[in-house]
Amino acid sequence: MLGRSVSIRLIMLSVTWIVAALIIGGWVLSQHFRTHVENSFDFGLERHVEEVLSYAEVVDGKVSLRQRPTDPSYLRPLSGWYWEVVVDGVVIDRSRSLWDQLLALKLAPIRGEAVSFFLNGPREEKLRVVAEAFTLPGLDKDIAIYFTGPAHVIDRATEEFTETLIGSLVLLGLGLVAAVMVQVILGLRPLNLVRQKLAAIHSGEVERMSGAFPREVEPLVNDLNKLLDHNAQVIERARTHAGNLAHALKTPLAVLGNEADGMDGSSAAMLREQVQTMNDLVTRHLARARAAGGSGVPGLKADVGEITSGLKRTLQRIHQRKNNGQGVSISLVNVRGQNAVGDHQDIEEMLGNLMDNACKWATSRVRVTAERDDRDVMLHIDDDGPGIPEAQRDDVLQRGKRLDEATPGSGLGLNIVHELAELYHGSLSLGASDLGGLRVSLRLPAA
Amino acid sequence: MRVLVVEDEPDLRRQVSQALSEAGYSVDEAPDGEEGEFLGDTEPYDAVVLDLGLPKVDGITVLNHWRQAGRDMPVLILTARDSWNEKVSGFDAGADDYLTKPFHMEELLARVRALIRRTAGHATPILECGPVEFDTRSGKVTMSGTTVSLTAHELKVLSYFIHHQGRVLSQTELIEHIYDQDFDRDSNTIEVFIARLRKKLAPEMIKTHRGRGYSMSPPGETV
Repeated sequence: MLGRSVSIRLIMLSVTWIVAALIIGGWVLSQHFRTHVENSFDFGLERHVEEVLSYAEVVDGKVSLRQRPTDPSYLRPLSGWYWEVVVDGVVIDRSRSLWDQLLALKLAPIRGEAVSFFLNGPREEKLRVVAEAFTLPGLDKDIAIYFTGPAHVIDRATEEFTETLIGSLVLLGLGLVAAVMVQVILGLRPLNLVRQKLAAIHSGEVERMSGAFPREVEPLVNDLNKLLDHNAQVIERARTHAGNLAHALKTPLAVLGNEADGMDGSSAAMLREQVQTMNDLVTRHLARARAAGGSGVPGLKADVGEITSGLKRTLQRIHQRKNNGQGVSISLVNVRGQNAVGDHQDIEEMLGNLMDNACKWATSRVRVTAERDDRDVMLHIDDDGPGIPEAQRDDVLQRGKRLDEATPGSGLGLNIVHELAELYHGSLSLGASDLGGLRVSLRLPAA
Repeated sequence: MRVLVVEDEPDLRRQVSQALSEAGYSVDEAPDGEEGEFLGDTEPYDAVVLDLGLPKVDGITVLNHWRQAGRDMPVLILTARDSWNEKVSGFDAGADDYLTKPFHMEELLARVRALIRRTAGHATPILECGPVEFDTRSGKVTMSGTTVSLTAHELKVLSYFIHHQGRVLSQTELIEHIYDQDFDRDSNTIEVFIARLRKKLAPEMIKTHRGRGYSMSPPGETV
């Protein structure tokens, strides 16, 4: 699936990048914030260190504090806020909050440089420690001052920040993913348009790709249009070729047939018979060659209404001498606006043969009815002629056999219709008509 | 009755012309669309046999030009193009009948005969004018049931008269419809044929309208 859809591929890739970038960014930000909080915390402790230093005085080589820091946090026992003053490894003073405990100090600070670190306090709580060593006048040893504060203050601030950060980043991430999706959908819209137009061409709604396409897609569209044009040209050429061949073959056949008609004897009869056979073959193969190639060719649509009304005009003239000179009345029902998938001439050929057959057999009436369902358009051609007995219908359909030699051409016509119908994934069936004669039903995919 | 045959294939043109001539028509031939169109424009034909795949100008175009110019003589398309698409466009261009090759000559003759007959407004193949009966299929003429023997030219004159009975036909019209293009036309011969027809049928069958021409109508009816 990932490989098949460009949209999904783009969205998935973008989401991966967004998630990775947000996780890394969030981690860096929260680390940075933690360092910042620690530094502020340390800065506060350092000021206390300096305060205590200012209280220190050396009397007779002994250090003592004139005053103690007044911040109540350092008075509340075991508050986490502690201080200690150490000289040469001996604690000379400490905050009241330490009560009877001492800080488990392992590290002696180096002079002139404040250090900060974490330490486990008297209640095993985590402490942040700032320590600095100083030289006092009149004292040969360094004085080390330690101040601590509870580390959970730092942790909580960092946690709170991280929570807010995660919330914001998730929102940002969702926003970005939405933006990516919008971008992908909008950006790939021309491709979607191409797909829709292709579908329209396939269903025969349009013949070519039209409209404005972006530069990236335009060559594809142009090539497609060229291909479609080429296809149409190939069909047209094949058809012209078939027409020329028909002319080239049938005129000499006509000459031969006429000469044979003027001759007597068995060889003339044989000649006539052979001419007839050749003519049938030529007709059948040319009809096949003329067929546009069925539904394999995209972009074909035939207007059934237009075709049937053209055929009606023509057939009423052809059969005007029937029925004692009154002709055959052809009625068209619901054919207007019906479209079938297929080449105009192919559909016309099918309907022409069927309607012509109906006119040949009809007493006075022929009716063409179109019915449309979801997929197909169904064309019923009814006549009020003698009809075909049910037992023989399959036979007629299968072999396009002539049942009655008196009305020529009916067999061949039906056969060609059958072949064309199959080419278009349609079907042909025979039944009884409510007009009293035969009902031929042609089912074709609707456009 | 004059018929124009427009067909590019020489053998077929000869066969069709010959068959039509033998059936009593005066036939003109044209080997291509250009000449065919010109003849159809300038000569009064009673029917045209027109091929579609013609050199120079296509048959459909020729037909279209004729119809646009108001030439309404009946046209039978004789072609190898047998698709329904071509038939529809043939009829839509103004053809009156359509016959595909190969064909039987009798079929062609029957269709030409029917075309001429229908154009003149007759429904049946046997035309009557009072006691005179003319079978368009066989060219047989009877007068009150008795067969009348006519020469080819007399038959042509009678055929034109009986198709257009009840109408005054000028000498020029008669000449134009009875002789083909190459015939040396002499108006006196028409008078000779009419005199012979009056003699063989009945004198009152063909009336003379001074300065206008001749007419044929059933006895008792006036033109």
